[in-house]
Amino acid sequence: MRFFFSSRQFKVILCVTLCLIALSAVCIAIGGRMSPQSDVLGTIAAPFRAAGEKISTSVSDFISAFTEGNEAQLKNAELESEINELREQLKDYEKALSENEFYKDYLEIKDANPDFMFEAATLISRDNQDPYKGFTVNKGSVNGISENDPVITDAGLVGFISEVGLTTSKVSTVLSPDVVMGALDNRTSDSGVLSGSLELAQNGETKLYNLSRSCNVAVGDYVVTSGEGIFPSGLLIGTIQTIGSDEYNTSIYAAVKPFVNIDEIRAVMVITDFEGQGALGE
Amino acid sequence: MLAKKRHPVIFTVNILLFFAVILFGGNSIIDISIKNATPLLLLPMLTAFSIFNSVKSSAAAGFISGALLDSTSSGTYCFNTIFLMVLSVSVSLAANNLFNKNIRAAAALSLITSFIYYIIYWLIFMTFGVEIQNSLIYLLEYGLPSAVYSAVFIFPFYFLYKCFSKIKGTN
Repeated sequence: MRFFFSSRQFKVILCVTLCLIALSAVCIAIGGRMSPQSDVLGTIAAPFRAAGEKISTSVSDFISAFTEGNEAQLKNAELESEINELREQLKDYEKALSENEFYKDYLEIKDANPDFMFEAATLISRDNQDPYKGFTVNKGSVNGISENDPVITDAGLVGFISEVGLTTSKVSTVLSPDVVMGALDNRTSDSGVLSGSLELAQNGETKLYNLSRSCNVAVGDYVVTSGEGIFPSGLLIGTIQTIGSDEYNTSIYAAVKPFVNIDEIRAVMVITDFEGQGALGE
Repeated sequence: MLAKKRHPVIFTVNILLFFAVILFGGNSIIDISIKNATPLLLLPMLTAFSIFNSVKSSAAAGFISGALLDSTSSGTYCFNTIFLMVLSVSVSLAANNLFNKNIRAAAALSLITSFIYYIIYWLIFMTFGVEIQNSLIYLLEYGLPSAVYSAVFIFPFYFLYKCFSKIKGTN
């Protein structure tokens, strides 16, 4: 083995390792960019990942069709081919309808916030090692996406873009402690700070803390963004599940269940531009 | 001069296998998690691969799969690339110089590499800037169970790569 440590192979591996460590340091210092080797390989692998996700979705749909039962398919064997034909048409219709609904919902958000600029993106990979359920989408800097852009669905806020590559970007979800933003109780306008914690992320919840002891928040209230931080104001976040007092009894906090089911996200919208973006983000 | 015998079929199968594990490890097609324990299949796979392959091949496999993993992992920058490359080289060296290439050695190497991976991951990403309570929750409820669960997958990969090795005649 000692021959290995004096070999050319060892020197090459050592050089590569040192270069990668230096690269990591540079990436951390710059922030918000993927490391170059990951960016290149991620760009090459992105179409395959997208295909893999499509296969995964199709298999899940196929399995759920079986488990939920499809009576029409089994009832009439004579009309099977006709049913299949109609089903094909229905599938196209439903796809068009759901796409329509998808864009209509965003259109409503767009109507309410004319300053928002959207970029539609599809989930291509999940980070299974991330307890906060981060994921990767198929759009990057070439599509105008930049670090800290808010990510939403028609149901509400998902998170923000934490790292940008050329054609892919990583999303940190509202469950993550990396997300720190101002939030309001929509009913009482009581304000606090919203951020994730591992303890609550296990239940798919995040934490609204620093609420005044005299506030009137209640279980079931909607929580929206206040506009402080990197997010525009008025985006739906979730509902208050439980309310508690902090360890020093100086303020109270609320566990918030996001409206968005992060496990079932397939497509998102990235807000690439809005009025006041970057004003308080830095 | 002896020409090096090439095995394009095994090479292709290897690439497809790695790609499949990386690709489907990142979506929900087959959810094999047990509560918070989510196996990182690349670890036992790379361990088994490195046991039966040269240091050079192992380093290349570790580098590429690590970079692919980094491209979808949140905030890891080059961690997976560095770690998986160093891990592959170390396993390859250990298997060729210190251990026998039997299943017990493979299981031990897999367990060691999985534990080292999750402990280093925890030390780098979960101990700084995270509350101590959350940090320990990660280690005890996510990291260590995932390490043990990942190591279990050495068995299928070991026998698969042993089979490839026999076909290649390198064992």
